[in-house]
Amino acid sequence: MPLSIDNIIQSNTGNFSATSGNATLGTATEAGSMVVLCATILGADATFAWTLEPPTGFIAASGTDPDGQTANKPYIFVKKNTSGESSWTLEPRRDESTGFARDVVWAVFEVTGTGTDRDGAFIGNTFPSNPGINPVQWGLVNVGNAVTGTESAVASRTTGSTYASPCYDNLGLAVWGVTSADTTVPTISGYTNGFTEVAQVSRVGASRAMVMAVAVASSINIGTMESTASISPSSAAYATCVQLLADAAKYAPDIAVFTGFGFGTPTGIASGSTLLPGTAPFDAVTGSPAIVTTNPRSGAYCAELSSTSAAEHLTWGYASGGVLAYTEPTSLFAVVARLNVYFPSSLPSGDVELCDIIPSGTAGMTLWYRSASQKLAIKVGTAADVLSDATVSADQWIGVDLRYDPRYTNHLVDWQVDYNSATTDTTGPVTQTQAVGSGTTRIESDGVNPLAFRLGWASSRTATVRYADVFLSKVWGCYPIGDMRTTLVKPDQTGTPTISGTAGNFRNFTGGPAGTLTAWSATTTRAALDEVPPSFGAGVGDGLLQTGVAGSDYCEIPMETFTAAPDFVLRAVRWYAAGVAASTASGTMGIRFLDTGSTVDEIIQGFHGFDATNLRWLCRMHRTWDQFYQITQTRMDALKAQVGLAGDATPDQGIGALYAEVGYQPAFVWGSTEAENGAFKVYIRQDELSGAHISYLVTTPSGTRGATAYGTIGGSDWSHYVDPNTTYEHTVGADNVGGVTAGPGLTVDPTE
Amino acid sequence: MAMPVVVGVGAAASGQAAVTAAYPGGYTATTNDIGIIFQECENADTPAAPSGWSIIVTQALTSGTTSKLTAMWRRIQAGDTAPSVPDPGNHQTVTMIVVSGCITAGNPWDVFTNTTELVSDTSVSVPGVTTTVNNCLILAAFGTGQDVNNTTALTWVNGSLANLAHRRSSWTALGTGGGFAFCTGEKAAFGGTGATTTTAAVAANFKTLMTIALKEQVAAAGGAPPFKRRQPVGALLDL
Repeated sequence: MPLSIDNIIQSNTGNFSATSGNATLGTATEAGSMVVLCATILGADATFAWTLEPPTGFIAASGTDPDGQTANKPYIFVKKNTSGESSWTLEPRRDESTGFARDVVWAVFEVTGTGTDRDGAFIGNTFPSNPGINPVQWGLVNVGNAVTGTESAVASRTTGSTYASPCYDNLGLAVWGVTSADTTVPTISGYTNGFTEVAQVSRVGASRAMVMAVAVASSINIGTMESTASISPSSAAYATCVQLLADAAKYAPDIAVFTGFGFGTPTGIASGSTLLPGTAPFDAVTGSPAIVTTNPRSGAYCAELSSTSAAEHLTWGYASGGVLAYTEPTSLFAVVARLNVYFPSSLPSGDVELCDIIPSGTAGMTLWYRSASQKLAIKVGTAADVLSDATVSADQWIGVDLRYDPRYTNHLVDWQVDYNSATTDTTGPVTQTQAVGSGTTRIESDGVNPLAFRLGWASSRTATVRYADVFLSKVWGCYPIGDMRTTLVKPDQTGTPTISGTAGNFRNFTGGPAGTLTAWSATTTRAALDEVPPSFGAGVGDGLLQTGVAGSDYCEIPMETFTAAPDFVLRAVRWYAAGVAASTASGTMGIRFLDTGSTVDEIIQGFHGFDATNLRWLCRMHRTWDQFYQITQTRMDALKAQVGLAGDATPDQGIGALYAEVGYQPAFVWGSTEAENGAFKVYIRQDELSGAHISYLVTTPSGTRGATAYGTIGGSDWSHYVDPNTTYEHTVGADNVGGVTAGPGLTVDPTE
Repeated sequence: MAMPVVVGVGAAASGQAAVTAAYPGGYTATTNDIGIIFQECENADTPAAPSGWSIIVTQALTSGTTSKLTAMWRRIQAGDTAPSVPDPGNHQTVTMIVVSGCITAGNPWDVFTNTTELVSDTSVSVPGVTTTVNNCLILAAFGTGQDVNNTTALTWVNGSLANLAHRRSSWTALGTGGGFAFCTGEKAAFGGTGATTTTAAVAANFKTLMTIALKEQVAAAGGAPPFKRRQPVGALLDL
């Protein structure tokens, strides 16, 4: 459930000028409550730096202190999962030493409903001491921005924006610390962005007065939070903001990597840039996996791993140089996965590993097919199998969601199985018994993390297994990822590639990159890059080359779009560019990936090891490395790549194919209105996670009475009269719940 | 003819099982009175009308703090007892209003509308309807999924309605929690009622919204028939 101001069940404010003071609540906290302790210490001291450290058991949820000795300093300290506590001690520090009296104001809140999913999972039974970027993995609090402010008098102060949260159920908590130049207490008011004041506390000192305000706002949207307050009279002001996350909050799938194997070939499947490891579709391959068109789950392809008494697998790596090393967090994370497997013709005759998650320095987990029971099984470390609750069948896609959490001594795996995950099947997944590891070691520090996610089997096995629509996240709260599907978009054959710089610096080629060069043209370029799989080999293939030295020149290539509404919701995009060069000689190029704004990610200019005959990929997720990135329809429509940026004339470098694979999920259907015992109905297709409305379905009964459907989308009112005995669909395609402010409403024709 | 009259409003009842929608205090079931039960429950719940009752409309709130607001009705018969509203699932809170002077056959409403407001604030604006007959009693209601106990009386505003009166607020903290408030007003001449507004006494949230126009008893044989203008209004609104 979303958090709101109602989740603050008690609060208190106070102040002191002493070497220490207690922040107190009137009643002992309930079990499971979070305590949020906001405090501001008087700055304005040209000699000493005054600070507050987190009380025992708390962590500083707000960001770094403002620089300088004179700054007053607001803090947000949080302590999760308290019980029966009512007093906490604050100690002013002068140049990091205690025993010095200083003016402090405080406000303390008991907050219920915050995330307790990770109870006991924190190192030292507390928050991470340095949560760093993307701390939402901890399921409790999205650590705020650095404290922002100035000692100069200002009439308003922004908190700055928090990190973007992929969580939909947040409570923003903002704190302003303000100090006057005299003993007049300033007032703080006018909080923007829906923030409501929950405390304002002041203290008048010998020569200056200080005041602290705390305000909160609910949010059911992913993204950042910020508020600006007015200050009167103008005074020195600092502020910060955090987001508290609700228990069992919904998360947008923060996908670190995925594939539907839409690139269509096993050739070069583990060959990426020699300069930038982790840019191939997979980091490693053993055996000879095939990419086949037989029974793909979604899109046009799936992978088929097949061996006789041999190992065969595909691996993504988490460590430096791996595909998964390009997204935060890089340590202390869980592995959340969704994969679909298919046993063609018959079930394997023996046991076979379907996927492994391999940590460093300790045992990991394996998803098994067990032939004796014909069930799936999770085995964690040396623990006994946890078998699925039902048998699996051949010739049927089977979806498995996993969450492997190595942050316990006994690693944990939550999992669920969709025994028929065909896209046409509506039966949902079945939650399985949590697997608890044995013989495992708690992940405690950098460098001791999940190392690899492996599809297939590293032991000698005889089996044939197909894989499709494999998605990984590093965010604990993203489990279960659920029914993800994939499709491939290519250069838009109705769009117009353009050159930034000199067109003469680019050429199109046929007969391979060392073959025939022709003057660059937009039409040739887009047509040359869209074949799936890429045509590669000696004297084979067409594409785009940069032939002239121009480190800032590029060819911008607009991509096809994928329109998700009314049936689907966009989740993620991954790029695949097939690099080519006229020879093996060293030469540089780069690719940028963009949508509506500036570069989202890029393959930096450099020598990537291309040549004229071997397929070498440049793959990247279309996202920023450190924060959740939402693929909206507007962004999808604007998807484009910039290829070129060559800093040398030879060899000619470019690409032979360019794809963007799109991950999407079906919209969830809710009944919205049933009128007159169900004679008139309105259904909503919506994003199950965000609540964003995707489309409306209105049905009216036979007879003479219709109904008018109406609402407000994007600030514009709409209505549509639906005749009797009619089904009408109204496409919305909102990116978030804020896209619709009213509706769908229904006015049924008057009773006869 | 005459405006339907509110006989009374029963006490609110909440539970995580079937609950009885109480008659107004001192009320004895009278044939042809119209009983309307408002029920709030969780979005994923399945409302069901008591035996002999029917659902007029259910409006779900499927995002944010989810909720579902349902209106049920019955043409009361002498001897009826207060009905038990079946358990919808997570929780429910219900209240019955009894109205006399409504049409004695067929659906007792002229028109109704329902929708949601997906703006998290305490400002409530229940959309109006365009009545097609004179003398309609207007019921305007809103609900939220707020998990609190609250019965605060509200001040309602609608310049198009006479004798606007708050009738009941009932929020429960049972289960995932939620509740509703509603008022009545009189629309003597057919036409648009405009929106009915109020300020919620619970925290800012998304809302379900509902307006129902109950129509008067038709003229006896030989009397003047009520004026009636055929809709569809939607054809005029269609964009």
